[in-house]
Amino acid sequence: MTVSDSSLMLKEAISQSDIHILALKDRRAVLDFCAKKMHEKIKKEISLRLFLEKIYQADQTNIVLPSGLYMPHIKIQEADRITAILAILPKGVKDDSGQDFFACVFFISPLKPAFFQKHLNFLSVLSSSFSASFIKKLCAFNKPSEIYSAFDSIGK
Amino acid sequence: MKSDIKKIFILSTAMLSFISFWRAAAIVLCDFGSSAYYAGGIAAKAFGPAFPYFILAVMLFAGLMLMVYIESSSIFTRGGVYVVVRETMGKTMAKFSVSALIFDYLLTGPISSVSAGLYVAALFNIVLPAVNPSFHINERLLAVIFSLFVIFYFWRENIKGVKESSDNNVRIIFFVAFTALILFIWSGYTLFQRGFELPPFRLEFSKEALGWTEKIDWLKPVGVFGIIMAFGHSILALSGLETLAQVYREIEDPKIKNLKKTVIVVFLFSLFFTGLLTFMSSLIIPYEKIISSYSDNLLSGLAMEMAGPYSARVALKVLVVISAVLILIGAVNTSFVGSNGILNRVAEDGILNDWFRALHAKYGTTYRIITIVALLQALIVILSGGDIFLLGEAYAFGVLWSLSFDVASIIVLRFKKPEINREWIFPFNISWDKYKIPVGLFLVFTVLISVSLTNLLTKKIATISGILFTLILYFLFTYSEKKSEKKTKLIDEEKGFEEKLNLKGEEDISKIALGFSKQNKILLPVRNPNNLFHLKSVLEKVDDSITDIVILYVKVQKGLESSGETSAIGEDDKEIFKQIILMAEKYGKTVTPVILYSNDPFYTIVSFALALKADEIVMGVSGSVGAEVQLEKIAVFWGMLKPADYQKQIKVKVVWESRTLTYELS
Repeated sequence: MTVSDSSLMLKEAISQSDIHILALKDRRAVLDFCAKKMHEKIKKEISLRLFLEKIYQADQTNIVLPSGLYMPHIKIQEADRITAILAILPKGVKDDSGQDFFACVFFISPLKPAFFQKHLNFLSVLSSSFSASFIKKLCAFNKPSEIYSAFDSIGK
Repeated sequence: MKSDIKKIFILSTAMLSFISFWRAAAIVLCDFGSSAYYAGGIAAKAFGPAFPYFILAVMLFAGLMLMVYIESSSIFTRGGVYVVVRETMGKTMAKFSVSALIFDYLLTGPISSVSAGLYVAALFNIVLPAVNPSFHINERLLAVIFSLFVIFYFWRENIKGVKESSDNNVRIIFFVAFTALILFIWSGYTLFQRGFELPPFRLEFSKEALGWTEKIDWLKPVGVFGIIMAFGHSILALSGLETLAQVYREIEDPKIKNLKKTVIVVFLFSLFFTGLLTFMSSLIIPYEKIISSYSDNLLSGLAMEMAGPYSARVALKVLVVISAVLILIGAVNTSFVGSNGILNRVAEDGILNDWFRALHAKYGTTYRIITIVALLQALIVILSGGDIFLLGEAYAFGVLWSLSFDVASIIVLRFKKPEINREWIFPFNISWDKYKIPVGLFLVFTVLISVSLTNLLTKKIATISGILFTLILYFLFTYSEKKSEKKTKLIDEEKGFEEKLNLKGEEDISKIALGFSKQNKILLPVRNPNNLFHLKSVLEKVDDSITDIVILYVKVQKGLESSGETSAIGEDDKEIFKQIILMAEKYGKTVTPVILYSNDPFYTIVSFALALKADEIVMGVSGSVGAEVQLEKIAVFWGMLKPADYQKQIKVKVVWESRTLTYELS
């Protein structure tokens, strides 16, 4: 996968309106915020309660990477493509694991075997693109539009 | 056709994350610092108004013991009493030392939880009479009930395999430090208001504290003996130092430099918190009142005896009780994790029967060990009846003897292996030939052994229970070891061949990777000897003349769970390698096993796959997380670890009997 492929994949999944700059206290607060934002897109297909239940269960196996990236995600039948919410947290969030995080990419992807390769590719792209230095750069921006433009510089 | 196993590579570390010295200090202090809440009261009751001098002396001595741990850690990255004693004095002494350490851990839970319960009970007896004047709780009864709940809670959490959080340790220590600061400032104000007199340096031993020496008349005039006895009654303030050895392996680079910083933080904190606060208590609270009202909750007593309005003092007492509960119940969890870790370690060495290491069907934890620890702790709590003095007496046995073994081993090692690279050595040595005669260590050992031997005479219950427990455990270990040896011999005889595993240690993952030079490379992570279907599927199909088949066994060890060493193969490892070798022989294929030590298996798998430039990773399905999560974790770490210029794609497979999932990562 080339650098430009990574940038493209991110822009396909994350629209500018899905980028938020936040100051939240803990992992659960971040997860709830992102989940509720995502639910607005799929509320006709699934109730919020059920959506949150699935998310909390899936979150048990998620970790925060040393780069400061947190990637909660679930696969659901109601999704037809990978859609993500990006939360940038310039002040950082303390996680119980001891690893603070400064960026959260919350995404849903289709629960279809044929889609799983794309799902894995997306995870790989996220962890390679959101390096510590890139996250630091994003934290310095004040507007979602600036963050969105920064995707073009991934890997450069 | 016989398979050709050339070497097993062992890598010393392949960890995902390391911790700062602050975090390491917080982890140690959550165990070591908790004794501030009970050591002073126990000492006061044992030998009279001179107790604060001795608690301070023990804290200063703790500084020397911390320095001993720096030297032992500089030699053994995954150290601790068991490893150090086994390497220097052999398995027999190691069994005795680990028995003492387990006795220490078994008593840590009860003394900490009972102490917390006594603090809570004392608070209830202050606060609740304001609502109903006739209200009074039996403090020991409440302490026992509270303690049993805490033990049950941590039994449950450890069965479920709940991870320790160093972040919680940091929060607890910050809160305790905040409480300590208020106590110091307020104590300073109180002393300024009232003036003070230094407590008399007078030893008045209670009947229980004299133990058998009550009947030995000729000992009574010997002043030094009295001092040693008093020191012995204060030594339980040293408990928790072993945690430093366990946490060392997770300290970030530069390791020894950060370890020294950890030691300084731990020493200063405990000197001020345990040593000076106990001293402040003796200056502010009349000795008679300590004995009559506050021997079970000294720091609460300090809060109540300060100068100032009653309501403010009660508020301070609430703060003290909250800090006591937080740090003391944390120490209970440490006792579970520590004893589980050390018993797993000795089981791996073949000196504890595998029955104990059976894994929980759902959680994968060594539930039998955890349950036995919980039952023993509960029994100790019930038998003690909430008597903190009784528990303190017994506690010192395990603390002293495990420390004595540790220091003795470091001394022996100076003579046995003077050539070992020691990044740091305990000071006060005399150079002679190739040796550094450890005069300083000898002095420390002299103090420890004098106190240990004296305690045998002064602490009846500790001596009887400690020796009995040590002997029972020693014989259990010896019996288990003999049974394991027999079993291994039987298997060898049945198979008609002798397995010799040629071990090679490495510290650099890339050096291991250089050993594989065939056209193709397949990496097979293994974990469970009953789950090798993926290995079978590879051996059936792959041509080993053009493919390196690399079997990766990741030993996951985190913090207090670990007290193992880097280069030996335990019984568990032997079983899985036995199965691998048998399977490879059946198909006549060459495989090379690699053991890597890590705190995250998926991180390690990907790191090694990249170093190898592997073409495939083939995994068996994980019973705990499932195939999809395994693949997701590999994908995440692949993205994170892959260098920007790494062009090679890799296939990742999960194979089980009914299915194979195959994906590609680039």
